[in-house]
Amino acid sequence: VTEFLEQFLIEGRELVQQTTEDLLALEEAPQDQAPLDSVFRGFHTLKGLAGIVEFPAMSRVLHAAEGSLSAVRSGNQAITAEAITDYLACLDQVSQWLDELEREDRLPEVQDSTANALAALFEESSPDISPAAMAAPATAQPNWIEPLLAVHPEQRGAARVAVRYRPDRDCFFRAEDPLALIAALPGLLTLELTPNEPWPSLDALDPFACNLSMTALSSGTFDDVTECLRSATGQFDIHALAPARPVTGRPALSPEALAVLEDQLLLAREETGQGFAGRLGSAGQVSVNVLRHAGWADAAEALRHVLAEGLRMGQAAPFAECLQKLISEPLPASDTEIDGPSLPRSDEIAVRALRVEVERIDAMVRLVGELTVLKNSLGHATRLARDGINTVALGALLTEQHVRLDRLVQELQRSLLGIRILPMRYVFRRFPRLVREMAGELGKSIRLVIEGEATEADKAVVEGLSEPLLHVLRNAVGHGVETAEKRAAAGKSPTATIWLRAARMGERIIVEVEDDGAGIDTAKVRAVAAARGIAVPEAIAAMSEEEISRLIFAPGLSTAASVSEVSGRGVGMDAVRSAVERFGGHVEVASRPDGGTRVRFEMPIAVIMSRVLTLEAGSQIFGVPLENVVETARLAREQIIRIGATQAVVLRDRTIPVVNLANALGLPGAGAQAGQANVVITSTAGQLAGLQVDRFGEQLDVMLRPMDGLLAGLRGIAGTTLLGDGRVLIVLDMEELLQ
Amino acid sequence: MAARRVLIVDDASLVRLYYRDALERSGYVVDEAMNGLEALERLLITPADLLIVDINMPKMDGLTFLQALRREALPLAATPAIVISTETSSKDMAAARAAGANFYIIKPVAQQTLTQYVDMLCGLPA
Repeated sequence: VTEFLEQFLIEGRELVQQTTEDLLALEEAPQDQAPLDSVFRGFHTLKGLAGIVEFPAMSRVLHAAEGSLSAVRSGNQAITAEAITDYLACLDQVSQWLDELEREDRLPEVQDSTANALAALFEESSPDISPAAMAAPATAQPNWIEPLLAVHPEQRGAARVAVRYRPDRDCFFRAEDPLALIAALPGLLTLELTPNEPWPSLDALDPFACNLSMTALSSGTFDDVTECLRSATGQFDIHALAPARPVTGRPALSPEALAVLEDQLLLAREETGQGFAGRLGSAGQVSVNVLRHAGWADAAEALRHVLAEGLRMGQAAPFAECLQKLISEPLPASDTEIDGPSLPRSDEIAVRALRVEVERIDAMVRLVGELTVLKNSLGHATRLARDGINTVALGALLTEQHVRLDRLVQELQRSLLGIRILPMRYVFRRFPRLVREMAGELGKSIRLVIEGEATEADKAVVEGLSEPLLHVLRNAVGHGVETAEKRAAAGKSPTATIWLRAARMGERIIVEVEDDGAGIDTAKVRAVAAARGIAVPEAIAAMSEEEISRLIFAPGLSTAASVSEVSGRGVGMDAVRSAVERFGGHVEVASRPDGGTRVRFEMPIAVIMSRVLTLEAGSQIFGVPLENVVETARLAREQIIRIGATQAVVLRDRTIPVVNLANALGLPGAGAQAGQANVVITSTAGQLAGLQVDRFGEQLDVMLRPMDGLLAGLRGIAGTTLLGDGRVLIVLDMEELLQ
Repeated sequence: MAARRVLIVDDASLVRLYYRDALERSGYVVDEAMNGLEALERLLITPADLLIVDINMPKMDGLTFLQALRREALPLAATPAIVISTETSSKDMAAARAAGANFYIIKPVAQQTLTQYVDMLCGLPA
């Protein structure tokens, strides 16, 4: 049972997410059939899931929503913004139930009143949605359908869609071929042709004018049929048929019955040698029984004959094929569904369950194979060394093996990274909904434009951007974008636009949030910065507008004039900055008065591999990310000059502050070496700084492990890695260290 | 139609009682066996319409029992069998199928669910 619930949780969440997106798409384009169909499918499938895990409250609510949606679909009801809000509320409730299920590990107990209240949202708008009414044939069935069904009573069970196609008189001149089009209809069962006007005498007939009407029955889905006729838009009516009642066809097989039948199919095809007759016989007996139980007496009888024959011949295949056909037969009278629930799109699988292509795994298996070969040859080299081979030959051998190992490890790392790559869509997809809601709360009109959502980066980076982006978007909606009145006064369009863009630039991913709002109020930032003592007043006065904008990343500064519900939750942009920097990224802001604000994130695409330069200071070894290293310099000691409490060096006409690493870390210094000082010049966020060390080491590729547990809060350390000799290498976080 | 006969094969008396209670209330005739060996002996005397089989049992476990049963002569070999077990992995389910189980239900099973499937596998009209 728990396994069911787990699956329910995963699928439920995906469906809620997908359906939410579809609802928003529907709101954008209320006339479009496709999003409406998707929304309907989403609700329908969710309802089905609720039924499987026996969650009546959820079924009840979703059933009501589905009924209302089906009224929209049949054109009896318009889709309004309020209706969208109701549907979203419904999904929200489902989402909360799913949360509760995840927390408590069991289905939530829901008061009837809660479910009823929610269901009532939809029922008042569509009075005829009781199960009985849904089971009844559609009352709005156009008058041309019943005659069609009457001519073909045998198709009543199988037909799911009725089509009337009336080609325009002049359709031939548009190179349309109505007959070919309708002949290609998926699942075409019958076709009736009638003249629109009585056929004139042959000499009066205009062969270039189409005088035909076609009516057809199809066993295809509503969507497929619509898709097929797309090129003839406006010339046809398509109606989903009400399910045939049991009197005229077979009742549907329940999901349970289908599950049991599928198991019999597997059992019959089972290939273990002994007990064949017993297995086939029991599978057959059970299948026949299940079909009888479902009221498929004729099918059961047919299957029984096939089974008896199969048992006599010692062959399972005829039985299996017959059963397979029965199972996969288009359900003659399935539920109220008009088209089958679709599977989630393959690229929308939950983040936690990464879907890995088989080729990628195969590639890694191959690499591991090569590594094994290399390991063996290394063993060979060890034996040679033990037997006293001369060191030059051994060195050459080891060098060669080292090169091979280097290549293999690189490839393996690349494959591993490939597995962890995700598109930004995983983060972006929740934002349209959020922006819509926030804008609604604040009474603002905002359009969110998303670009580059397919841009890929490491899972950790993609997920790590989620919170910072959310915060920046909140700011954009809450503070960046003005109210419609203010915008009108400034001569802007009343609807504001926020762009959310992602793009790849070399080994980095750029994500931008840009709005066309009022820009950062630098006067206010100056005032607040002065009042909060972020910097001394003279310094603030001396800052350029650009520098002032950058101050929003300083801890403790918030320019929000009002603490609204949307933003101003006590975390400032400084939290955004530190969250981004944890991933080796950085964030900057650009703003123009009345022109808008742009926040730009720059992140590495992968976070696992870092190239570091090792250093020695205070008899310990440290690593500095190579991306921070500008150059290493061996300077005369006198070149390091003391300025107040700090030291600096002038290098190529630039004054660069210098920190003695051992001193900064409170380690015993290596003693004043006469004459020479080793300084690593680093650059972080455009700032140069020198790090005085005892000795320079080497460049290494390392897989950095972030500090965890108690040490996670330790500042100044980016992570650790193991060195070849088993020592731990601490890699410094230059940005934190130099603050 | 004569009442259907179901044989419950489980070493736990409480479980047998629980199934028996559900099935008898739905009009089934219920037999019990405590392990596979006993079940085989019983079936040779009194055939059943459906077996409900546990996996982990002393003397002869459920899967060994099913393998042995499917190797018997027809019609006995073709007696439908539901395995009800606490094992939840797909490997266990595949093993049960390979042994000849017709359907697999994970314990615990509600009485209502049990009778639903038993009705279905016995071919009772819905």
